[in-house]
Amino acid sequence: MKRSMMRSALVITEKEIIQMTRSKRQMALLLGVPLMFLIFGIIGVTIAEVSTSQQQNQLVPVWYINKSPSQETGLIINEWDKIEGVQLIDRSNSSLDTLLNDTEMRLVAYFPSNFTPLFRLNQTATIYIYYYKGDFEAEQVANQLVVAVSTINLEIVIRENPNLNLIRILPVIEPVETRKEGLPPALASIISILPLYLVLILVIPPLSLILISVTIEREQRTLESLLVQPIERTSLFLGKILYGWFVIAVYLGANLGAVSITGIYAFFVLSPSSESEFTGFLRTIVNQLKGPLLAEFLVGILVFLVLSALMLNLAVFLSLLAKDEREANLIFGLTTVFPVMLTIPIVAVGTSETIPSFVYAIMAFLPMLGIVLGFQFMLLYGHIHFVTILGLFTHIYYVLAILKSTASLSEDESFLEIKWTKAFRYLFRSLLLWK
Amino acid sequence: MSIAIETVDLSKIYEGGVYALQNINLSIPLGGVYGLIGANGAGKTTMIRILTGILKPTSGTATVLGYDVVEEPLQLRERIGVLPQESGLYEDLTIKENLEFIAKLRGMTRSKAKEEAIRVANLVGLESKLETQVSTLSGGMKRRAMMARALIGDPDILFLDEPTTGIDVLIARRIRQVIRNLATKRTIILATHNMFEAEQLCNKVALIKRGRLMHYETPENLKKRYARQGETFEDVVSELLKLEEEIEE
Repeated sequence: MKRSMMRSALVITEKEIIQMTRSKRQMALLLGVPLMFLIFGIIGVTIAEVSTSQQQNQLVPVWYINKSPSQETGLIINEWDKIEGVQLIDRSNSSLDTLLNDTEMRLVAYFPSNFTPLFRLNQTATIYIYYYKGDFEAEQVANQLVVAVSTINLEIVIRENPNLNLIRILPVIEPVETRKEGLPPALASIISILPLYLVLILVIPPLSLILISVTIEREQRTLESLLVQPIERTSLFLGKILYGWFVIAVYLGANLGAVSITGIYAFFVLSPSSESEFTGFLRTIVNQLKGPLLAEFLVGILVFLVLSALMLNLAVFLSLLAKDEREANLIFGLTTVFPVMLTIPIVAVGTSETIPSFVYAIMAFLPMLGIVLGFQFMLLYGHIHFVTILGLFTHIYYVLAILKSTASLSEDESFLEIKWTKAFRYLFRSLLLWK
Repeated sequence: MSIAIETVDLSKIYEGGVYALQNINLSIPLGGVYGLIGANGAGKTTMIRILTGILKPTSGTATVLGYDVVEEPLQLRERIGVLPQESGLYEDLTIKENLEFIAKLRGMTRSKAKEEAIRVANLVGLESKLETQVSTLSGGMKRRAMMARALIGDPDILFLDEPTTGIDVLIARRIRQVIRNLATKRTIILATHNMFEAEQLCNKVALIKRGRLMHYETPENLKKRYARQGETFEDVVSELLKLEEEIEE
């Protein structure tokens, strides 16, 4: 790329930014949404805090019978005692039957007399935790008890009996398996849709500014004044694309800032913690992303970036076509609906188990859908699927092809008033023949 | 005498077979004001768009200052200034910002662009309005701002597309004076519907009708050849255009 072309593009970008700051409407759009995120986030967290604190006043009684007092059981009980909202009551003197028949019973944890000997022999040792089915609060506490035990290196197996839920706790015999498996289809669908929704929430709103930027040049008759300057026409739409990235970055930054502030507020308000706990919490997330979820996280970010670039380039391409602001707004509306519609086939494909490989390969070429499906397959199979790679590469190609067709379109002599048929001819020629 | 603009058999056919220009042969020397006259849709704007490299001719050639309009549009645009028919100014920017933007696009540094904005504003008498937002300007002021913008980079040829349309007599007079001053050092191509303006300013006028060059003469010669007693230049041009129409029919 010529240096002069880049310089002209930057001059155009600077002009766009100055114009944007002059428009109250555009600034309101750019900063209003993050501000709303912040306000609603803080209100939501405050409401959650009030309801949580009300709940916290009602402690759930956990009766326990320890028929095998030892250092190990003491350690477990000690760990349970740290759980918030739980009132531990030692009922070791009562029999299990008496407690289970007590009408005030909410939750009973039972350490049988063989627990410690079996545990020390590295054999199955069981803690029985009972609660009534349908008592979701008790179920939640039961899970917390299990999680607490897991923190002292025990593996949990959950089993149900007809009337009562029963949780057996077994000591770890082997280290945690390192082989990673995919996520359940429903979860994979939800996570794979995330980049699409991030594009919808964080990229499409500022795109409206980009979509009208060329249209306004045409409407206000400034386009012709630009075309008679000694600049490559390519630098004109390049300037618009750079402006687009700038707007998206500002909008994204403002939204991330709002979400971060809400998150920090939520962390301290919902669970009054020390700073070290907060950093510990962050470390846990970072460790997850650095460890088992690193590949998914990176591919997810890549999918988001490629989708954003695709939408941005498409917006600039379409903005060359829109005759006026009304047409640009119509295009914008359709652009918003498109990613939402895609969520339907994504869920459908994600839950289907009988799709042949060649269909996967074909689907990777589908605009927008292909890249999201590729990500979904990665989540489903627990490793990078060939559709993932195919989807990413085809979409990077689409991004470049749209860029190329926009460049060709801007060089067309009918640039001042481009016909849709001609524009799509350029687009298909670039996509299919790289011409 | 050096040639500013030369066209040979220049034709432009739009999609759908509409002839905008047909075999135009024109030679415009350096220096002076040259008029493009014709009814609406005659082909004046198409002619300017081709000569400024926005449109490509369907056939024939055109050179401006020796640069081929198709092959060397960037070099050509470095040496021309254009005042389009319609505003083309960014309404939400100040005059200074509009001028600096174009100066920077023409390759000037930030500081040079600032100096250039002041220089061209002085030429059209807008130095006191530099910080004014364009949307608050009157029509006449906007025209002068557009003229200032066309002068950025001190171009050798200026294309002025109806520079006095829609503005009051006093401002139009002032703009004509500016054109006269500019023409001492430059070549100015003036597309206009105002025959008084054409007669006053132009060394030669090109009469274009339905994309064809009908006459290329000085206004005096046209008057000498075609004016009946008491007829103005406007009467002559009107008659000629009508006459040509009758011949065609």
